[in-house]
Amino acid sequence: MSKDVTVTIGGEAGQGIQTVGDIIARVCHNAGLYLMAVNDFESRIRGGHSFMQIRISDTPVFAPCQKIDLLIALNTDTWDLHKNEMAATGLVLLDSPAKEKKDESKEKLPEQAQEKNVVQVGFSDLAKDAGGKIMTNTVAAGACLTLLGAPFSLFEQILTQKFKEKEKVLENNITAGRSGFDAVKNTEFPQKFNWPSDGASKGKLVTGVQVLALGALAADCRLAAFYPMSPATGIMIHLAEFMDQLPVLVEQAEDEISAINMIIGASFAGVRALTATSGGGFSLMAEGLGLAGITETPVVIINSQRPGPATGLPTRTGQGDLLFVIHASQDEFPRFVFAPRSVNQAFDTMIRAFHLSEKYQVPAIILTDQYFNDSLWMTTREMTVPEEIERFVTTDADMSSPSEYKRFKVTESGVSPRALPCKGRALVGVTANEHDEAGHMSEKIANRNNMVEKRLAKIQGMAEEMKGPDRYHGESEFLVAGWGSTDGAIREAVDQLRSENVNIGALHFSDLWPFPRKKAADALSDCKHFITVEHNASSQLGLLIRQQTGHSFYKAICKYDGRPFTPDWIAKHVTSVLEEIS
Amino acid sequence: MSDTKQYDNDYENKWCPGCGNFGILNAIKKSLADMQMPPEKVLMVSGIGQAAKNPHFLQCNFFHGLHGRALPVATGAKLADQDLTILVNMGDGDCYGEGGNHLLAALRRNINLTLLVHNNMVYGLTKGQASPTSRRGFVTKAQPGGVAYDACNPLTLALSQGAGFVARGYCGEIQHLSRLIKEAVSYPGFSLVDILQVCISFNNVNTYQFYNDRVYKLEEETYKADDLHQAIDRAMEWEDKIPIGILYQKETRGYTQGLAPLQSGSLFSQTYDPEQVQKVISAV
Repeated sequence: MSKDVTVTIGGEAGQGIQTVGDIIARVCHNAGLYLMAVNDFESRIRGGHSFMQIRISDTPVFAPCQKIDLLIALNTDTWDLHKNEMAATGLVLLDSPAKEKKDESKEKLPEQAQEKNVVQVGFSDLAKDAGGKIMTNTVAAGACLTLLGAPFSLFEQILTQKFKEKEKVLENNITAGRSGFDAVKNTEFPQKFNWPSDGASKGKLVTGVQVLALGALAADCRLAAFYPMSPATGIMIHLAEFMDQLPVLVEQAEDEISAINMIIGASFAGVRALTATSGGGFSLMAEGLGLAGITETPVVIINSQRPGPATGLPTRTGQGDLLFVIHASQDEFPRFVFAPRSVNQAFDTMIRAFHLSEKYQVPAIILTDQYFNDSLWMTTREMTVPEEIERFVTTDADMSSPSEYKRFKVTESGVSPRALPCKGRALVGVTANEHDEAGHMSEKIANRNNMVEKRLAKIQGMAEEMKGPDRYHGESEFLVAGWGSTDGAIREAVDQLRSENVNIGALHFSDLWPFPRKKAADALSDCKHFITVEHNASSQLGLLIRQQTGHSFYKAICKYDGRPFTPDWIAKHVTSVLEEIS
Repeated sequence: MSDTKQYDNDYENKWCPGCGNFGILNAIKKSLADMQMPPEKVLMVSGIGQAAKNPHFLQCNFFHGLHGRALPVATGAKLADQDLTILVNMGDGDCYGEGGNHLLAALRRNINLTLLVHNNMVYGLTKGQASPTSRRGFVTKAQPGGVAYDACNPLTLALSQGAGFVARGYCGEIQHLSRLIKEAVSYPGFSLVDILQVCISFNNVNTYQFYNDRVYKLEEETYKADDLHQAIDRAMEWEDKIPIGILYQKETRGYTQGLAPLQSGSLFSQTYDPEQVQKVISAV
């Protein structure tokens, strides 16, 4: 039986929740355990309530768990807010400052103290004793790791890595960590791991934003322009780390309108270019998206979704932008829309999006979300970069007569040979107006029809590039359909239900536009019913499937509270739908 | 001197006969010819408006984009390939209205671009509404009681934001304007040339006669373009006398000069090195 433990560290923003979480995650990771962690925070820098939830297991995990086994409460609010999520055997470590003397605190915190699963630990006092309140995090991490059964040496290793530059700080942190370790060494906790003695990590710990940045590098992205917006900003922050090692420039634009126009300019001039934003910024980019469409300029846009409309819930997760990005900007033009389901697929999708965007000279949109971007994931796969980058550009040497070059020459595939400006005698002219083959404004009827048809002709080739839904027990009587980051939670819910002998599987969509119509229809044709699971209120994937294939979802399970799915939650809701069917 | 005919193309011109834009177009051709810049080495970027159609009437590479957004497109192109020579053509509504934020950012970024603003103080393409540079009291169908606020002054704006090259030209002084454009293109940072342009269809106040009566050339005086305060004073002259010429020029450090990824050449010219990329990614 595998071990599967969920640790939640909660407190106010600014209390260093992420530091505690980061230490615990790194110790577990280095020791060869698997984990994933969710960051839950409010749109504020200090105060409020934040938490980090780490799920640790000796087998791979791809979604958060609903039940908390160990709650590190850096304040009493944390206990109040999470007490109903505690597992039956769960334990709470509650910070109890000494100034609330033990006897008094019993009266002050009667509710908490009387709970048998609450252990009061003076995290901050122990930290002060070790040299400063700032090390409260280290004490908390120490206490948590003891309960999980970690050897102190592994903890010490991570602290040494973290503070190797500062000897005194390191010494104090080791003392603090030790006192956290000692404080709970006699406390019973049923979920101890068998700590592997070899201590070899099973893979890399990465966040979603980090992987998207690495994918951009592997795709040879040269210019990334952006305007800060949660939860996409981290992608650009990570990319900016590489500016002195690779030919990649990150430019903070004055607004999102500028960001998209900048990458169009950069791509026009011949480099691969990226922007990343969330729904609000994407809304501002809508006209620019159309500009990329009519000028047939390849660009890649990441829209990391959060709930809206307008400002919505800035630090929460959602999947409300699918139909929006498919249709954004006036009139019609082809585009790609992808929604990777994992960090591995996100890395590959970046490479693929840049490639296909240039191959078809269309914008490519990648939908992720706050849950994917901000969570910590483990990948056991090597991130391999392509041997070469195919650029799909033409030069004078390919032309019999460069002076007669026409940027928008009508072709059967809709794709015209793409020359770059100022790189030869061929002149490159493009315009946001409807234009003739040479890129000059034209209002002639025949020309307008030709150009609309030329652009739309690309869809045939593009559609052939699209993969059908990923099938997980796809032959089942019932299927759950989802897209993007929810895959891990859906699969685990399916596993749970199948272990209860439910004949159910899942279809996961990552290639969303042009919609893989035939492949989707085939995958759906044999099931009795399918149920959609999405982070929006109207089941946008369900609507899209119905529009594109004629297959209707039996029911949509929609969650739009901004918090990620857990497998338990999905399994529970699917079960009630199945009860309704039978 | 080279031939300006090399920049002619056979695309039908779409401006009103007598439009001030013709003077600007001719001045651009002349300056390019004087600089011996062949058409294939020129990239014109423009927004939307009558001014923004300019690149269509020139034999060159061009990107005719969205209203107000020419500067970001040009910025992206220049960051991608700093070896490009980019001239940006915008109108007053395009640049000072819709694209105002981009102008502010471009002035601060100081990327080596030349911005030519065809300033006719009225919206031409949409048929005669007030623009940011329309003077107080200017009557249009949309402002029947006359514009009720003061015009924006793009020159003092640019000067106050640290611009290193600020000039004003006039479409009726083609030789003079072409010299300004030449100077602006050779300036190694962001250069603004605001060009007084006559609109014969929608602005019957700021006519050729209006300008001919008022315009004077700074270089015909003892004016030296190295004093910011003097430049601001001159930039504010309007009612009786209107100066044209280089108002201000100073040495600046271009944005791209200090950027780490551009130290081994333009982003465009650097080659993809899978080994190096793999090394960097694997080290994470």
